Amino acid sequence: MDANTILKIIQGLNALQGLLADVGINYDEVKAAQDAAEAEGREFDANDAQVFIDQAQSAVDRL
Amino acid sequence: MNRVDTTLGAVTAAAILIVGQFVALFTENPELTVADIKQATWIAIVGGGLLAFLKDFNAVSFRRAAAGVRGANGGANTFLAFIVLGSLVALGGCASRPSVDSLADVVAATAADIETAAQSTERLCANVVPSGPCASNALIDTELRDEIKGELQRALVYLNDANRALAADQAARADGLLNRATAVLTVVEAILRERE
Repeated sequence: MDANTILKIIQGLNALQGLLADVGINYDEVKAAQDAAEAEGREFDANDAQVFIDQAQSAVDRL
Repeated sequence: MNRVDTTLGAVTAAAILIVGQFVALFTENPELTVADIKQATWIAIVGGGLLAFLKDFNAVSFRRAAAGVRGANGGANTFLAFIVLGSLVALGGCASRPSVDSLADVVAATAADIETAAQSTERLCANVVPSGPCASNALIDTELRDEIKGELQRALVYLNDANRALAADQAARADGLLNRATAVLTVVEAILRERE
């Protein structure tokens, strides 16, 4: 196994770690918004969901 | 080493397919337990995994042999496949998804999936500026990043339309558009599988 392969493995592990963090954070944000809507005694609606679409759009635009 | 790498790649492809099938099965049937899974389903899932292994192994072996004639490497990037496809499996249900009791919940959860897919692609590409070239030592190349970006944009168009339909009380239309957005995310997975 050469140095380049080892470097790729480290990069991959780093990417995986970051990905798992991203999944958790993004889902947690949705859960928090759902909980907030519930606490306010209303249903989570299209306006609430739009915030997450805009966030996703920003993430895609950064690519 | 080549044979080990090829086998590992094929095993990874088969494992991801099997895990993906189970995730889909349990996501669609929340009440399902392992004991309730029918024999035919087991055969379909495990048989599909076996076929994926054989297909992948043969494809990569052939590619290596062909590349060998040209004096090139031609090997699959097993580790990349593991990272990226594994991430999509995680997106599909291994992580704790928010509750999806309404269409608005599904829209938000799908948006979170798209955001995560974009973030992981950005991480793998390591581009410095938006739409800029991927870093020379990145785990994916610029062409693949562009393909993924295009598909994620397409999914977002459907998702935006679905949310607008939802706001206009057109639940059936919103549901159909959401299905299209989800289908596009599946296409992203297929692109990555093809590149493996």
